[in-house]
Amino acid sequence: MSAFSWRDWLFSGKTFAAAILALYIALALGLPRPYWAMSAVYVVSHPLSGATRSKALYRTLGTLLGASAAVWFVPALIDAPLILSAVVALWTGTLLYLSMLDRTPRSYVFMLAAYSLPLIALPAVNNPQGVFDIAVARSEEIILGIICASLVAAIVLPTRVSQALNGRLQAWMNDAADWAAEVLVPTDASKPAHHRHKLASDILALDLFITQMAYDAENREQVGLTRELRARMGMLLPVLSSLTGSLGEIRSQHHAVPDTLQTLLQHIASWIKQPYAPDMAMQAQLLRQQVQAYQPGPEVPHWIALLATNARARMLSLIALWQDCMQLQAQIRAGERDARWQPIYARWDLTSKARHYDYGMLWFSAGSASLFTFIACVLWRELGWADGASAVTLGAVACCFFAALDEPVPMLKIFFRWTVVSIVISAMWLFAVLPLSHEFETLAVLLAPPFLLIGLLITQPRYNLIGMLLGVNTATFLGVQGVYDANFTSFFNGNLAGLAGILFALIWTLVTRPFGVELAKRRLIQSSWRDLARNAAGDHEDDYRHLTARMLDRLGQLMPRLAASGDDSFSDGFRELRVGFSTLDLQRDEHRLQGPAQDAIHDVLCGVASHYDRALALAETTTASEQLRGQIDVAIERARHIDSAAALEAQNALVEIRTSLFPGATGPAATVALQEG
Amino acid sequence: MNAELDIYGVFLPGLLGMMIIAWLVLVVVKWVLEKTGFYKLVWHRSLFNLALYVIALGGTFSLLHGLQS
Repeated sequence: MSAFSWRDWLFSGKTFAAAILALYIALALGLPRPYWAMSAVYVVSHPLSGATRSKALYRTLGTLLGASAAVWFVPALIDAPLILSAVVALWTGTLLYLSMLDRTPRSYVFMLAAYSLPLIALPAVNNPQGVFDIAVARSEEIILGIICASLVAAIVLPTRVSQALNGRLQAWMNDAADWAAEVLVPTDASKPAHHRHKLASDILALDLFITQMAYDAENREQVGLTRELRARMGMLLPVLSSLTGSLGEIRSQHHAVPDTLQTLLQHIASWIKQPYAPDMAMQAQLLRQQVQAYQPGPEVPHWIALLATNARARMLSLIALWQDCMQLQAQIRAGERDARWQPIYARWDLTSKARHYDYGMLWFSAGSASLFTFIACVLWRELGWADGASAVTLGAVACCFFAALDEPVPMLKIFFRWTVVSIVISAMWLFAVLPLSHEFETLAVLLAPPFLLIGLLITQPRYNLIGMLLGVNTATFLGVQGVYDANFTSFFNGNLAGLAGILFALIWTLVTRPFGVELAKRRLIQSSWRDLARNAAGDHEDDYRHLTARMLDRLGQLMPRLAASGDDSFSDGFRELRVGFSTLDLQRDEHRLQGPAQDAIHDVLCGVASHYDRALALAETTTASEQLRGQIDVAIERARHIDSAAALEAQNALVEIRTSLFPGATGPAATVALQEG
Repeated sequence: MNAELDIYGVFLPGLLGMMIIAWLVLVVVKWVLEKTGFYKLVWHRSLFNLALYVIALGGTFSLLHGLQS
């Protein structure tokens, strides 16, 4: 474990102070379960104050929603326990599904509503008149805890998301620069995969960051700028992977990159490695002119020349994107938008927020959690176990928490293990330490050691979850009340029930969701095939904006999974992306060309569509047919002889598709040895 | 000042009503200060807002108190 910085200690101290403040107010107001306020503080606290605030708002809304549902359902259905169980289970499943659909912190509303209902409703089953009181108490205490947490986070030496942003952005830009330089001038063959996995997961992290930033009131401008930066960083992925493809083909088929091209690549690589300078726009302009002027010489073989022409277009995109990224980053650092700034890169509209959702998988995991809740409810009733309510609720909470993961089992194991630890801690404190205290002051002092340590754990990203679990569970299990009335039997009865619930959730998940990352990965790739087939066939209802955004998002989801399984034999995800962007290019250019070239491009698009249809039918990567290659060659040949920007674009897109679908294939014979005009 | 608000049979403390009024006042004041660029002069924005809220709440309280007596 790394040494803790003063910021970590500060956060831990602040969180503890907020928890004690919440506890004190709750005790002073005589609320029935003051420890709920305390544990709420530990749930929402996050080292960044914007994140605390967003979580706080959503937790409040979610709790109110769940509490209202409890007040609504319990008295009405108290005489029909089976129906009540079914309603609770359905509610949990449906809201869990909604929460997984929303991949922003807002999902927390639904997640909380999902498990607040069992949390409030089940303990009230034996006493339906009490449900309103429990609901009000839970809402009041959670809101109290949340207000204390967000107030302390915002007032006492706040750490703003925007402060952390600059450091993170720099790290992300460095990752991107490393990858770009590696692509342009490779030094080590094993590195690129590592770099691009890193960049793709960086972009996911940036997404999360942006949503949290939106809650830091001071940086409206910065949020907008960061969104634009994020869109451009996303666009770097297809551009760089396409460059990797073209340059890789040139290197493997021609032994070396032609000299003039090599110098250009080195220029760009060293430019990208440079830190931001105010005159970078001018440098970029110069570089662009150099690249634009590049023509493969007559000594370069025909196919290599085509590849180099394609690489030239991607280099232009790369320079434009990188310039935009650097200038955006500079504006974010300055905290102000430069009104005169205009993006250079304008090839694709990057504003769409379309995302890819795997509805089937979401339904399945929500259904699994829902069924768990139902079965646990029924078992609890049949066994007539007095403390069983906490088994059902903790089990449902565990299921909900990790429902969105591909492999929830390891997380559930962690959940189980650390719940045991927090039971031990709270038992020690409850029966050995706390009896020493008779006033609130001594209580606060006695609580400090474990909770300050737990707060420190929360600051470490690796231990964040464990820290939060310990904080919340220990606060709940301690169950600090106005009067010290620790009772060994009821303590162990209740907590053993909770543990049993988590254990049951663990076993249930092992049985119902054993598929792991592999299945999610396959489904992602297959849905990208489906998109490709539909898109190439031209019957896509969506416009290009959404399609490009969805393809990029899918890649972002795929990357961590590929990195986790360490196996990209099925597909590396980038090939689909390259084909996808190229088909979009072709569709755009198809209408701008006439005659035989247009027909040839249409044939290629149909060929691509049927290729991916076949892959879908077989559920396996297939090699594309020779016929398709022939069609592509014809189209390239026809496009080559038309002198227009659209034809050049089409030619590049065709070369791109050819290198993606037929990696390593030698080029078409130059039937007509005309140099392009 | 312990009067309770009766909303369809649910009794809410009078203080809650005042807190909501004070919050609404705060929203308006914050919007004005934002528009006029006043916040650029403020060192600790959250602390400033909290102080502003306490003032608004105190103001609401004494205003209602004054009206009643």
